[in-house]
Amino acid sequence: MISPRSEAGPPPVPEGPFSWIRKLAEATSPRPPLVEVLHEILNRVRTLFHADTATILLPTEDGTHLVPRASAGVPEAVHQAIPIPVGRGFSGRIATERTALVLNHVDSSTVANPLLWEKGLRNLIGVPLLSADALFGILHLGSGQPGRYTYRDTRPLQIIADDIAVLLQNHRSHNESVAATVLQHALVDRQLPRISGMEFSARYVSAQSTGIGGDWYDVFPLPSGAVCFVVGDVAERGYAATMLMSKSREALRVYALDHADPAVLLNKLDRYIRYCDSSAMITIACGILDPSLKCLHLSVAGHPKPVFTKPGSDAHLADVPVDLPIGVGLTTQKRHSVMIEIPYGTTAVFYTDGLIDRPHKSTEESMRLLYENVRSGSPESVCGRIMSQLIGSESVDDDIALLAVHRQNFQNPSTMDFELDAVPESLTNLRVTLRRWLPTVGASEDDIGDLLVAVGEAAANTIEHAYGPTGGVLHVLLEAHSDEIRATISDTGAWRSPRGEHGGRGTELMHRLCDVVRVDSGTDGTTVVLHKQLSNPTE
Amino acid sequence: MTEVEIDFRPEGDTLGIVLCGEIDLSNSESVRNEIFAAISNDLTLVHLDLAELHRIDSAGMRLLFALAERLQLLRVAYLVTAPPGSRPRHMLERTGFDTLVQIRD
Repeated sequence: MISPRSEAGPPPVPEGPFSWIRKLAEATSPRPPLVEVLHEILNRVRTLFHADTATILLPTEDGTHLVPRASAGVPEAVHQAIPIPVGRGFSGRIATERTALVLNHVDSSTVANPLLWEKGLRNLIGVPLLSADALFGILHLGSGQPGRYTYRDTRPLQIIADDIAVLLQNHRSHNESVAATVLQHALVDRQLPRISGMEFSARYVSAQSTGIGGDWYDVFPLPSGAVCFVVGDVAERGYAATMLMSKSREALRVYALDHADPAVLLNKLDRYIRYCDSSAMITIACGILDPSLKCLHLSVAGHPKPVFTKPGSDAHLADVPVDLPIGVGLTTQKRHSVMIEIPYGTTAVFYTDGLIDRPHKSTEESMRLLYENVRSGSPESVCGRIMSQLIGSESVDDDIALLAVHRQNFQNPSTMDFELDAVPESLTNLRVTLRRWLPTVGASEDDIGDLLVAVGEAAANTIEHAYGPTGGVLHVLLEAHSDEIRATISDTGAWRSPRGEHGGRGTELMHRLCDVVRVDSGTDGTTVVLHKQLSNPTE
Repeated sequence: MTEVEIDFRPEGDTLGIVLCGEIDLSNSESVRNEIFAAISNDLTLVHLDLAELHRIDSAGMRLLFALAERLQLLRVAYLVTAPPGSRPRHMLERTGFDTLVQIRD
């Protein structure tokens, strides 16, 4: 049937070299919501069978109940969404027995949904919606006329039901695939955090033929200044894989807030995953980099070992025992973690097996290519080289997640220049950066303690007083001179007068801990300059 | 669906299982069902031979781990043959399976 285009619809496709794009776009335009389609079907079925009501019930996710989801004649059934236990009542029996039923006696003894007998229905006919032996729902018709339907009517109704089942099946697989793809990319394709002294780059490629496979990578800084890296692989596909992936990803983030040992994180995850899904298997490599960035704690659960390149040495696999994957083995096993030193210039590459199990290459060949291409330098170029050498133009039949981590060479030790959001959470980041940088310019533990407080107070003042609720930026410049550290903390806001009982104490502290404290306040913002003599200068 | 042949070779209270072909997500469920159905509780040893298996993915490994758990529960010994350097052997080592079950060359 061709319906005339409404005036508000899209303009006709102009014929031209690119009109095929518009045609493709229209052909794949969003489907109408399922409920609307079912409603349209039910209206027609009701007319066709001279029924007073026509209703479709769909199973809940766990298959234990049926819920009315579309109805012509009993809309309140849909609005109230009364769950019918499978096995009980009229629809529940059709679901268990998977055959058509005709009912000539409609009351509380035969029908679980009170709305049906309250409606005055005297006769019900129902059929299962079956496709490929799976139950996708129940279709039933009701009439106020006793004896309206007999078992002879089940045949034509079942033919309609079979088509509806196919529609439901297609709809579900389409929806699951869309949901999996959207969720996977929302969780994985994110900007990696910026952490001074470190550089990251990553790739995620989903399998072309078999759909999303549940591989993921994750990098997140912790309040302590530590940085956690995760690369994992769920042995599943599609929606189920994505759900497990997102659970695991979030659980590890939560555990990492309280534990600094990746073996503990993986043990906790193992217990959690066993609790929610007894058949799951997930492989993971999890690393936690110390706040100093000098060493990485690594634990591996049935996952390919990461490859490291340190300055002056060839690429090699991390020397780490491989514990069992998450979710397998009769009980939770003891897990191991190792500590790996990360000198300046080290590059580490975490990946999933889709990268090295290539159809046209042996594992040895893939590993050789991987070693050759993990070189020190920008992680972006490392990822680029690895993907081009190992994958090239071949199709991808298994998901690939790849994460390259690089500790930058120490370039300019005498100054640090960075910006932070003027929010309280940035104070942690500021302290971590100071803790990393000050020892490299000759500050003693006492100096570090004093400067952490003084610079922290200056920054806290800015965060508290400089900006309105929309916030702003805090600019920090640290300079090391032969015997003195200079810190400049500036903003572009307008300071208001101090409030609260702690007002003024910060400035007092700065004066006590530093040799020079200068505050320049103007219309363009405020700059606080702090100078502190080092107690034991190196030069 | 990916092709795999399963050959059961019972010998007294030992069951040899030879897998030939490939195992991945598309056939791992049916392979699992077939193998589990063939294992009776009077066995003392199950010997899984992967020498003719060309490829096994993580879903296939999940099946081998599940079999290990089941046999451990039944107190049936479990032995796996996989030639060094083969893809299945790499997979067994990479997933830590060799820490759970004895692997033969």
